[in-house]
Amino acid sequence: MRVSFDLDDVLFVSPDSYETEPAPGFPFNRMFPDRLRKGTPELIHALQERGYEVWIYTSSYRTETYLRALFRAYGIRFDSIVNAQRHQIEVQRDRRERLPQKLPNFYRISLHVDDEKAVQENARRYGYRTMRVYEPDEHWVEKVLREADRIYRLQQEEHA
Amino acid sequence: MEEKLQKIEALFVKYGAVPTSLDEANRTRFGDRVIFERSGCYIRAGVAAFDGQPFLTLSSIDQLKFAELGMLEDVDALPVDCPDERLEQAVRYALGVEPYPEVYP
Ligand SMILES: [Mg+2]
Repeated sequence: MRVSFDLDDVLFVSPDSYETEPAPGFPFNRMFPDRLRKGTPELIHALQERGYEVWIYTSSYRTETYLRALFRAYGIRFDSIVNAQRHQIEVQRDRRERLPQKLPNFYRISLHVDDEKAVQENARRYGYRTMRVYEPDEHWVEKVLREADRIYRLQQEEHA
Repeated sequence: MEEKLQKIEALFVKYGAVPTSLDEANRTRFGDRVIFERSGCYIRAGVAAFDGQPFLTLSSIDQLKFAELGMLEDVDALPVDCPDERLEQAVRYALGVEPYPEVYP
């Protein structure tokens, strides 16, 4: 079971409109300017404790090195990171058909969490499962966990 | 400061990194220091100011095409009077000689 997260407006949010995790201490709060949605470490750890893999799947060009260093400051380790560059090389490649900006099923991701409506809309057509998290929601941690557990059970039934 | 930077670079070498000739243009233009390489990890020592306060920095990247352009990411920042043992520990982490602890820094 593999769960992936979009970054912008899902895990990375503006402290002006969202509750965020406390920033790391100086000077790391300057080195890593992105702020995490409150509950992010708790959610990632809870998913990993269940034995699920947790990935980043972003259309941003932030490098894997930067992302690993940033999340380390919050005690988070992702199992894998797909950024725009990796998607381009591994998914889009030289295909003439323009694929959507994310194709979670290419990586056998069982649930992708994203704020973009387009990602939801493409889900049925391209055959992946997604959940929309797009605004401040104090219950987002429980909601994502519940959905991940639901899909885990579904997959078990499918394989039974 | 120069002495500390040279100490860091000596630590790169101690742990098997080798100096490269990558990013020569920006080394001249922006005064970037030499990029070292160890098993696909490109690393560079430097100095950066945060809120006007200088820090020794370790920057790295794992892709050659970024290293060629000198586009490394800051992964650690250390006080300019950082004791040598801490410098060495930071280099070990950044080079992947030793895994980072659960939360770092
Ligand atoms: Mg987004």
